[in-house]
Amino acid sequence: MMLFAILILSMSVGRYPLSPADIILAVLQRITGHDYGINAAVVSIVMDNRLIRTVSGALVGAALAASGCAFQGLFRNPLVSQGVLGVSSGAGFGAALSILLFSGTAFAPGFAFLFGICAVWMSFLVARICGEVTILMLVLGGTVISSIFSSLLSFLKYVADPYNQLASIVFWNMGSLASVESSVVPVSYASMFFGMVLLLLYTNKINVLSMGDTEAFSMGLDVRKTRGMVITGATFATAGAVCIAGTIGWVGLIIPHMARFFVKSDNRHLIPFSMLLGAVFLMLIDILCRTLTGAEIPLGIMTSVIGGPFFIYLLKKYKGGGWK
Amino acid sequence: MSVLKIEKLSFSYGSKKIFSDISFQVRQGEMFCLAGPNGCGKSTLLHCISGHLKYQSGEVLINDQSIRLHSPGKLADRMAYVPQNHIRSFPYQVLDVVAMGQIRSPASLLSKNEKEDLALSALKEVGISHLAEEEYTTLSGGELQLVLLARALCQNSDILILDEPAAHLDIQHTHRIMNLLFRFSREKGKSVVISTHDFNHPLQFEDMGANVKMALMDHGKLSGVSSPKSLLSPNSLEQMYQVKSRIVKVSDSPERHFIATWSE
Repeated sequence: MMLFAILILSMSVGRYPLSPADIILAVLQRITGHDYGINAAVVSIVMDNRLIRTVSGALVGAALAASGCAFQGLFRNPLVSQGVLGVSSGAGFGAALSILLFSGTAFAPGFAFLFGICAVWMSFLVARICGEVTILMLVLGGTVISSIFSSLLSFLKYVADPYNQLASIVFWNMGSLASVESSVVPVSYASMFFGMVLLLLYTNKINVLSMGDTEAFSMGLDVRKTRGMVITGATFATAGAVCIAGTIGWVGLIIPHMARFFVKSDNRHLIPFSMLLGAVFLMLIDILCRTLTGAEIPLGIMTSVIGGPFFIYLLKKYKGGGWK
Repeated sequence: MSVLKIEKLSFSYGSKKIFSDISFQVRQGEMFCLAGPNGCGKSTLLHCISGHLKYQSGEVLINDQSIRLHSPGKLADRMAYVPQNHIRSFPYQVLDVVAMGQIRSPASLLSKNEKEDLALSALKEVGISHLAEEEYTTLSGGELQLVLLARALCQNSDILILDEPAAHLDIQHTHRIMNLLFRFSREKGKSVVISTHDFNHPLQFEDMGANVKMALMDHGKLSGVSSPKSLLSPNSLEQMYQVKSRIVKVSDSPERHFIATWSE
């Protein structure tokens, strides 16, 4: 219900305010073809612009929250988010590279998607160097690969044309739903759906994995396979989100924490609820982004400005994140 | 018949040899106590037997089949492991933690309710069903150990492996855990393998009439497998630990007690 209300709210605010009734009629007019007396331009704003933006926001929020939550369970650490294996920094670099190569953002989503997945794969390879892949080695591999891609991104910014390319790179890496390209929608949505469904199928096993590898194995879990599936799910969900909305921080970290206030720690309830909360959160943030000032504020800025203080509050409340 | 058979097992971390040429057998309904100085390789041996670490040579057989041929699920059907140290993660409910012992049985075989019933009966069995709704991260060390034991029980396997199950426990919880293990072997025919630093554990099991064997491990070798009675001699223990000790009986009680003396 709340999701639906915010969905409608999100579609009604903007440069051209619309009443909720108009929105519902506009959607019906497009779907049924019956004329409900809504201006064709209004129908176009609702369907081609705001509907995609709103639904994308909801999906991106859900995907980021679900993968962040899954990674917190997988790494047994409430302070990690989906970026820990490098998907975000890889995607950020990929987008910047495409902006530099093609002088435009047309290929940025595709590059972001591929480089995001590539970065996670590389983290995995690094973790495998010493034989057995452990959680510690994964974090280490992720840290190394992330920092390499961040440095490469800085390098690209340094060599980019400051008047044109640099601005796009910076803007892209702050995340935004302002210009969702409909050509990206199918791949991005498919990737997010695939990732989220995979994570939802593994919620119970994520619980067991969070008991530690040896205990999970003793209880009969194929640790390597399960971990691979969870990483795959979280990576596809995040990569799909990043390629439609750019890199957005904090959602994957703080939404699971907010969700824990309502449904406790059992991932069977926590992950679905985080998805719901993530969807609501990102839609609300997006509404603020486009209404607070005349110009759009990038999403990534708002999630941090609101998410940061909240996270400090969490740290205080949980004494440094220990779940004692 | 031997349920668990260890044959000439060897393990090393890189070039550092941890133990070698270890052989023993555990029968159905039998208790097996593994003792030895800190760092002698007990925990590593238990990790190898449980399949967490891959041994380099020798074999671990369950009903004459190598554990290498078992999938993780199949292995968990036969054997449950209780760790020495559990690092608590997220505040799950106790009942959910115990029900994790049933993770390998697909939803098609056991419904959610059946799993919860199994978990609840395991909690009853170890006597902490009143904790079912608690967050497991808030429990005391003794209660946590009982929860982990219940989780292993929920796994419904014939072999239980416990790495120092009574470490850090007070006498009440030690008493409870040890009596439960004794009952599991006696009444359910489970094979129980534990490591321990307290020689009173094997002695008490023996005095209770348990079917118990023990082995002393030192510098990665087993120095014989036998009954506690014949293995625990003050002489051999002094050689191993450089500490003088005695086994005594108090007045007319038939129970034996192990005492290590602190005087040089």
